[in-house]
Amino acid sequence: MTFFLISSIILSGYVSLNTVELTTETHQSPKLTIPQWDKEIITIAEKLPIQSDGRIKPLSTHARFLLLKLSGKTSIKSPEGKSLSPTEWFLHCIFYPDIAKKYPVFIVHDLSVLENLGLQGHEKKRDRYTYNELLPAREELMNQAQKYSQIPPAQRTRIQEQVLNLADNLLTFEEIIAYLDFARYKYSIPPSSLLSQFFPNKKEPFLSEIIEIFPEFKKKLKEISPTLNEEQTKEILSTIRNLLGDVNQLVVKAEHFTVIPSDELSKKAWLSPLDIAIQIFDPSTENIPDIHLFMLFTKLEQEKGIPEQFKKLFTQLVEEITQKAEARGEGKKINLEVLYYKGKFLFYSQWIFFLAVILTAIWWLSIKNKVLKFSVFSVNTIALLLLIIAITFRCIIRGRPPVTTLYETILFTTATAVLLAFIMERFTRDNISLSLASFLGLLGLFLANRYEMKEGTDTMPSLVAVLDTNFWLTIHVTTIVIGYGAGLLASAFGHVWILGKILRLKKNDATFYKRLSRGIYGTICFCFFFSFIGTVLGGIWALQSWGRFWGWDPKENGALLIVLWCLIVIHAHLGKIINSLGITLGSIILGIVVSFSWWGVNLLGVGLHSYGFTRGAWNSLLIFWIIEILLIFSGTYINLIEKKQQT
Amino acid sequence: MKEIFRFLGSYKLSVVILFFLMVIVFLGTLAQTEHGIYEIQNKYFESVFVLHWLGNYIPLPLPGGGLLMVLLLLNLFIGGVLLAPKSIKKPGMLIAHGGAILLILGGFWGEFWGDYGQISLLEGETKNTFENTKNWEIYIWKLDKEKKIPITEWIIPQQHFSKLKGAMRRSFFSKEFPFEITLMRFMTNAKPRFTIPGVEQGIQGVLLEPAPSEREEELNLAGIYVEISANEQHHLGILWGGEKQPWTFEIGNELYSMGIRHQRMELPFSIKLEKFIKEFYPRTNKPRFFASEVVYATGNWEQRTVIRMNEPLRFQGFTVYQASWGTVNDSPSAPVFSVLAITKNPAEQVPLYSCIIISIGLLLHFSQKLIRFLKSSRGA
Repeated sequence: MTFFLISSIILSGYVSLNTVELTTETHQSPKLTIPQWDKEIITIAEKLPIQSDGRIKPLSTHARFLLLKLSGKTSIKSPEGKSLSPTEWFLHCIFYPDIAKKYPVFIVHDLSVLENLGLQGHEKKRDRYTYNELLPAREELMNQAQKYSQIPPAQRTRIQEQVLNLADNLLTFEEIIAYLDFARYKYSIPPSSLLSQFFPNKKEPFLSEIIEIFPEFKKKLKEISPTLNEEQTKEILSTIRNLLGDVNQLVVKAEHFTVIPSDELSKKAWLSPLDIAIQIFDPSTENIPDIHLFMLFTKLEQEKGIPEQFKKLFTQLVEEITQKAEARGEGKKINLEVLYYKGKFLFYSQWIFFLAVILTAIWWLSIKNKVLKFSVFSVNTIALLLLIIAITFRCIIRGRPPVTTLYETILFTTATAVLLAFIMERFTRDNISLSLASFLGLLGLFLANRYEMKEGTDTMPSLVAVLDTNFWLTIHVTTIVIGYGAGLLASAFGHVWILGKILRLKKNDATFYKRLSRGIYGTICFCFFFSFIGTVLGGIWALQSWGRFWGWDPKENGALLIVLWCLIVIHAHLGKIINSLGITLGSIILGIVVSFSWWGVNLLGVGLHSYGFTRGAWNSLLIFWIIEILLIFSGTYINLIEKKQQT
Repeated sequence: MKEIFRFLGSYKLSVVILFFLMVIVFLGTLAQTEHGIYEIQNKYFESVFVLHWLGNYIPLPLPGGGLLMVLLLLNLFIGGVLLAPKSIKKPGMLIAHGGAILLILGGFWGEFWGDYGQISLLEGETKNTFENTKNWEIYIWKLDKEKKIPITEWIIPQQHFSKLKGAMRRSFFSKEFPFEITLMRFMTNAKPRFTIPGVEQGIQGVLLEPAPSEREEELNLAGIYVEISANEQHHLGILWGGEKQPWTFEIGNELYSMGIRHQRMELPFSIKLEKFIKEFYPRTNKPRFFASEVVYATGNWEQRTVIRMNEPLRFQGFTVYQASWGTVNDSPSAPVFSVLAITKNPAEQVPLYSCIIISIGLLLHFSQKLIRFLKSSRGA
């Protein structure tokens, strides 16, 4: 009878969340010095497969985007001035929370956020703070965040938005540092209780020790339960109730990411180390679960001060988990993903494009030296290759076509524009296309890298059900994005035309401008072709998916606007309504339309297709449009003056 | 006459039409931040004329999307086909314009003759009708007095009452029922509320108020006032789309019910939802996959299949898609229902064919242009 009573409590322990605040002490690490792990441990840790946000990824990717979200950077400096990689930082957080609390990881964009919390900020308006610095205002921060979260997102002020972010970041950090609390937790056993018989020399055993003896404890309990009186039963119940209450909280804390592939193939969700261990408390089963991975985690925590031992255990852990994952056919691309981020292809590509821009400038100033032209070409080619390598890596890692997220549209649009510029150069040999390639490449990668920083979330997320079709993603999204690339290239040519006129370059070379506008017209036709096909294919996809060809959704309309504008320019040219100035201005407007369709409609925040919401992007977009409109006016004005002078 | 013909087929007209179309699409997109898609569609994209307000003060009259599409079709046909130079050597543009005409015609066809609707099914449930969520209908039931179940049903379709605004009333008689039905004040989206006693007049303390259109058309709940008169008897009632129970009244010792619901359309076969399958990415709320395992049947013949995203069921001219799903209430164990979209559109594949035709035309044209350009630049 008693045993069943206990069973039911144990069972209910899983369901009800105890609200007793845990008093796990995290100050027990033997030495509070900076952990000195050799590089090998970090390299091993980077490849640890984990499951988070619904996909299997290396720990390094998870750590990278977490650090990015918290700090806006992909590396941080410890107070001692040592630069830490994301994985290194993440390991510090897990194994040495008290040290991690002293690292300045929390980005605060505006001092007034801190002032409102009653904190003294640093001198700089925008700076990074440590957890310990923010801790005194934690309660106030959470209160404010609670209040602001009630306000609809569109109506929040910038400061309110930042308070919400900071609170969210703080909570995320607290999740990370509490991850291994289960390995640090000690339970004070009431003296002379049944459990204390198993620990004759210990008053506060670790959770792992209790778990180890628990099967025996269960057996013993079953034996003696008929002989127990009411008092004794009560005591045993309360001992276990207290323990399970604490364990429940530890379970929640260990859910930040899951790292142990389930033994059952049908179960897609991985488990945390504690998830497997608590199966031992399950009264309904006599089976003793395999808890050695849980034990490994516990040992790791307890022996973190001994580098050799730590390395041995860690290597064993990563190997076992990798094997377990591979046996399920998962995590095959972990190494590739680690390599992708280590390669920093996009980072280098951006700087090589930057080099190309500088070389281009020198090339034009030095009156077109042939050697310089060749070096501009080669440097651009290297940068483009790096970009293409990055895109290829992403395709292989995800098993998807090149474009499935807003971030990837930037990469692909840039690659398309640069590649098209190369092709145009091959045909026109006017040196302009080649020069534009450098600028477009730099601009595109700058945008991509900034976007990644600002969003601070994994750029290879799992896809929602509707998008889960490689066929349509390939033919619809890719064609649309090629259209974007061509439209932006046409617009870039247009800029050359207008800036050339304003700066009075090639004043006496009328054919130069005529040839240029022919190039613009050709690029607009190219843009039209891909945008049109892409748009109709999008409709056909929608028809296949949910039975309607066209729904006047903002993203569809955005694509339609590009098509309509290209058609207007093309027909106006054919009908001789516009001349080369008209085509040029048309290309500038095309740039505006493309930017509206690509970014603007996402910011409208309506519609099925709005896959990205980027705060603050409105301002950049508005500035871009104002500059473009000014360009249109000045181009028209200059042209008028020129005409007057001619007559 | 020739001049007019030339004008209708001119590049100038194309540019003007395309320009206004662009303006309409742009304004209609912006307006979607504040209004529901259905309202926008009617006002901007399918209308003859639009009165767009710039900042609430300046009215801007514009041609509507419907008118522009008709004009564009005319312009395309005259300019792109009739007046276009027809040469075997340069067939590209002719093909492309032909494809464009087909595309627009296909769109009109689907709009006017296609049937669209949806069906929600709980697991184990079978239906052989679907709901057209664009239209409403009023049903009148004669009830069995004992069992309170309908014996006979009469329907008044939406086109007979959709224009009843303001003081307009319309009465309906039939030999089959012994009373006169008068309908008035139809609202496409309405909200009932309690009246303020002594200030407002309602029906049994309730009145209907028009509400702004919902962002998603299916969420609109129509409402209408109704008066039943027979001899000296008068009953006033409110019919509202959100009301689950019909309004019941007694005439001449017989019991009748009335209500307003989405237009029901017959399917030539029945669909039974055997099982709804849904899967999320592990430990997230992100759907990875959802599908309906169904059995569809006519007479004694039946077939089992799975309808999933991007894989609809096509049968007897109808296409059945997995649209969405939901739960009956918020509890985690609540029964799940699957929402299937149903269309019957003979022109369904027209966009695909026209897209292929246009692509061929454009590819022919542009590659000829490119070759000519390359030849000329090599010559120069």
